[in-house]
Amino acid sequence: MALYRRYRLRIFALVLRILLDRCTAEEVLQDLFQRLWDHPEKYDSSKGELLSWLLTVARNISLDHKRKESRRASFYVYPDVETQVELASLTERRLDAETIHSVRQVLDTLPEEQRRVLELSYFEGLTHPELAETLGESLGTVKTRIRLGMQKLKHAMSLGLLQSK
Amino acid sequence: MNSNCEMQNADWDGLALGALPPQKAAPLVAHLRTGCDPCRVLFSQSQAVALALGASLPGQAPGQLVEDKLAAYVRKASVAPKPPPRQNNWAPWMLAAASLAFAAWIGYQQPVPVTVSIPQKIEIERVVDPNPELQKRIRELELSLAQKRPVEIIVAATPAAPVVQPEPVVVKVEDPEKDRQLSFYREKLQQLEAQYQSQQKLLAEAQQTKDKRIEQMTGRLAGLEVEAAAQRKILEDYRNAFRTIESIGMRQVELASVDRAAQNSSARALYSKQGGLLVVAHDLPKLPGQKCYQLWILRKGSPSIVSGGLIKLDSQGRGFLQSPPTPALNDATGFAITDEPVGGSVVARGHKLLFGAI
Repeated sequence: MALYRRYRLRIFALVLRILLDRCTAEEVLQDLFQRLWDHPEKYDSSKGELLSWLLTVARNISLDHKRKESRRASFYVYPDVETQVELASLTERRLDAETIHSVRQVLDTLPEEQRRVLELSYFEGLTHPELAETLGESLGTVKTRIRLGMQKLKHAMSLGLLQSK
Repeated sequence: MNSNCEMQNADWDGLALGALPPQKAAPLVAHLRTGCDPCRVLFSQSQAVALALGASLPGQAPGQLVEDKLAAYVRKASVAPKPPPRQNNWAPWMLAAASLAFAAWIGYQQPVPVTVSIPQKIEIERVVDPNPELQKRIRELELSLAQKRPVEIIVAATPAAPVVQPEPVVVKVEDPEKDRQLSFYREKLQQLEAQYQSQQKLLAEAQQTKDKRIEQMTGRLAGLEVEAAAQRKILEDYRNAFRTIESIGMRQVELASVDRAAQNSSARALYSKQGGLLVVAHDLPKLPGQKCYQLWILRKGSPSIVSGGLIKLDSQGRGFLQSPPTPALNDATGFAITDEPVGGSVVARGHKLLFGAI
């Protein structure tokens, strides 16, 4: 329960942002921590932070839930949650408060079109073609906006890392 | 480490955000699994941003009910461990059944207390009649043994009462699931502590390296700034000189040596009302440390001699002076160069070394 109390605000914020429904988000949150309780061996501390693991799994469950609810034609299930957890474990950088704060600040200052593609991609789970269709832009434009936005956020993270040291 | 991997330009941002369609994501994932370090680093940076995006939302508190439900779930899961896999070990049961049958038979024949011992810490004090209740108890025993619980059951009966009344069943639960989880978390804690210590050490080393690097870079930056300032000044001088040369109405005056101390030196002054003044001198003798060369403008108006500025000298005896337009140039009649104390003089007092009339 200590873990739940420690991470519930961040994880619930993510789940709620994706699902936009408090009741469903609470169900997903409960499901996530029950999974952790039932199968603690699925989280390997040597392969990354618990927060990264929780964020990855929470996003995956929430997006799956959303896709099933919306019955979207393109039901992408790749990468699956195991692959996503495996990929998340490659992240060597710690998600400390200062880094997160830096990213949040830069995100607020990004041009609207860059922020939108990043948010639609991460929180709505839209792929490049879906983003292009949703925004009425070309595939190249969508990719460029993502690249530029990500560049700025990476730069902010690097600065945040230097300052935190 | 393959620093020239062609996949370095792949869309790692898209993969980290989950924005790639499966057919495009799969080859990238497969490539990462090959252990390509440069690509793993690139992906790691993108992935860190993606995770930070997820963590960057302002915190939201779920309802208290979620915590209550979770607490209840944890309590329930602790009390009722998961059933172990089915085992085909019938030997203890056969023994138990035979013992019970024997005990029942003894109970009919002779009402003497009998103690029957069977494996798995089960003890049956006295058995009189194998009636349905007794069969029920046997099934309970079987179930308990399947769950590997140490169980103590006391069955009491008398010859006069063939039907066995339900007796309290004392169950001692050691909760192996809880122990297993405790052990698991203890091990995890130890791993985390070791990992933390290791990371602290790495962090301290990285900090030292970073400090040293910052110190080096700061020194280098200071040097570069000085050099850049000097270059900027030179560039500015050249720009001003060019401005003077290209200005309309530019005039030129040659200055010649008028003193033995000036040796074979010479100078040229270029000036105009809009472009200012530019003086270039050659072969100027090196002056003692407390002296410098100063240019004077001779004019019709009053005062008749005004300072035109100090001449900068390089190691090869070349002198250079550039100054913006000044009213004294409007009615200038000539130029002279003297040696003056360092810093220059308000009024010319040194030796007149070079002179040129307009």
